[in-house]
Order: sequence, then C-alpha cells, then structure tokens
Amino acid sequence: MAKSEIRFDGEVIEAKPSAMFDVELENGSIIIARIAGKLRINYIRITPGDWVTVEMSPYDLTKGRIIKRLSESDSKRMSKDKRNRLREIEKNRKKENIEITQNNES
Amino acid sequence: MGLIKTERQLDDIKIAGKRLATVFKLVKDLVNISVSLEEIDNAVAQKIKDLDCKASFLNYEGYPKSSCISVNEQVIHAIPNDYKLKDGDILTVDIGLWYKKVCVDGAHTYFIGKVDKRVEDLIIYTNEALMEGIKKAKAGNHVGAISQAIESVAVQHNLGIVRNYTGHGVGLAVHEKPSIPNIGKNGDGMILKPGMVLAIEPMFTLGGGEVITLPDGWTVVTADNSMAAQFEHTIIITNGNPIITTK
Repeated sequence: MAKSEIRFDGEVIEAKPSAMFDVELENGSIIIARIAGKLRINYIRITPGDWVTVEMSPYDLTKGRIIKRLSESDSKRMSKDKRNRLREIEKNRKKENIEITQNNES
Repeated sequence: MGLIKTERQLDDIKIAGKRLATVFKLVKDLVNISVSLEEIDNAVAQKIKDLDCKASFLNYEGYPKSSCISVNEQVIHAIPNDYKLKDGDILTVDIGLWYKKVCVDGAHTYFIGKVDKRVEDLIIYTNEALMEGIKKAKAGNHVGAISQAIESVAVQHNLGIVRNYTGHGVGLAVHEKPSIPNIGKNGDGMILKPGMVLAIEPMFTLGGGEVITLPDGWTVVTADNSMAAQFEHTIIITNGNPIITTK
C-alpha cells in the first residue's frame, strides 16, 4: 500500500508573521511552512531551532505544512547529523581548495 | 520505530516475503476474463489465512478489504468490488500481510487477454523501474539514488510518474520512514544502512502523473483517465546486494 504525500524533516530557521515559518529541509532547501490545525488546537508551540516534520505537495516544493514537532531525542540526533554533514562538506571543500592550489603551483 | 531490524526480525521478514510470494502465485493463476475483483480478494484473504498470516490492509486506517485491486485508470488503493475483468483490462493487485510481528508489502500488475503494445510497455517498464531502483538500494547510498533510477526509466520511455504517493519503510508497521519518492536525485534523503527494510513501489501512467482521490476516500485514479501500472517488492538492505524478500 503506497504512502501518501511527501514528508521531510527540517529545522525551523525563522518565525514569520501569521504562524508561518522558514524551515530548512535535510536536503538544504528552505521552504515556507504553516502550522497544521492539529498543532494549533493542542497549543503546541513551534520556535526557531525546533526540528519538525513537514508535509508537502509534489506540485509546489516551496511550501509545506508542519504536522509534527520532533521529540528531544530525535531533534538532538537530527542536529548531530546536520553538523556532521556540514563538517563533511567543509572537509571536501578544503580538500578541493588544496588540490586546486597544488595544481596551480605545478 | 526501529529502522534497523534485528536478525530475528529479518529472518521473519524473509519468511513473510516468501509467503506473500505464494499468495501472488495464486493471484497469477486466478486473474482471467470474467473473474470478479471480489473473487480475487476473497481468494487472497483465504490464502493469507491458510498460511497462518494476517492481511495487513484489512482495517488499516479503515480499509475494508484484504487487497487493493486497481483496474485500468485506477492507480492504487481501489477497493475490490463485483467488477468482472474484460479482455484488454490491466489490473494491479497490491497485498500486504503480517507474519508473527512483522509485515511485508508487494504489488504486481497483470494484463487480461490482448492489450496494445504501449500498454504492454507500460507494464514492462514499470517492472524494470522497480528492478533498477532495487539495484541502487545499497548501504551507503541515499534514498534519492533509488528515486533517480526509477525516474530515469519513466523519462526514457515517456511514461507519466505518480508523485503524490511513495514507497516506504516497512517491517514493523505497514508504513515506516523513510518515504521513497518515484522522482529524485542521488543525494536526496536518508542514507541507507544494512538492516533497513524498504517497500519500493514505482507507479507509472500512459499520460500525466496527476491523480485524484475518489469520493470513497480510497480509490486513486489518474486525472486524465490514462492507464496506470505499479510493481512493488519488500527488500532488505545489506552490505552487498539487497535481498528481495517477496520473490
């Protein structure tokens, strides 16, 4: 049985007016997301720094709907993964720079 | 929910996959002109019971039957009724079952009687997309590698891709993380690790990829009424090639 919609996890970057948020997804793209009614009714607050699950339509990948705020342990794990990812990217970039410098020198 | 399954769970999943493959053997022999969808579903339900398993779709989020049988322009999640198969129809049978505490998911598209070459191609290439996706399902690859492989088969053969529904993790629940879209790029999504169990299910059409859900709340049809096909296997990620459990 197929799973519906497309869901991504991301980190809330900025709070905007009217309960909208900028969310940075795991693939690096930043989308604008609103809060789902279920979270509002249950007074679940979303603040920058929270990790959330966003539901999106494949026909507009710039907008989403925050349907879940991830637990403490999940959030810590996501932050750790993101730090590791950025570290890898930085390491690779430094490696490329060294190679370019070496090529220029020779 | 444990994304990495234990040895014992993986052993059970392999057994469950074999049993699901047995159910599909029965379906293959059963589908024919003037057979009704309800007959197929009843036979599936009985066979699952005979194998000491439980149909995982039955009562899942209120779904009323043991299998989804989608005919022609129906893509997925169509509830089997008294419709009798005709020459030229194509149908996708999607079945899931629980064995002990694990579950697996599989789907297969069949054609009845004689169909156009283009319809035959739809079925052949949807299956090929599944196999290409499975080839990329290795530890260390991202989920996006599978999605990219599936998408490129559709693009190569000019087939529509259904984007609103995705493959998914499976094993301890009917739907688990991650989602496995039918479109994507190599670096997207989660990194696959040994012990993960995935249900990969490409859905292609002869027209566009847009779909509509009918008022019954379940049946998904193509917006342009074009025919649709789907194939699905449950696979286990290993350090080497993935294990296809539902074969």
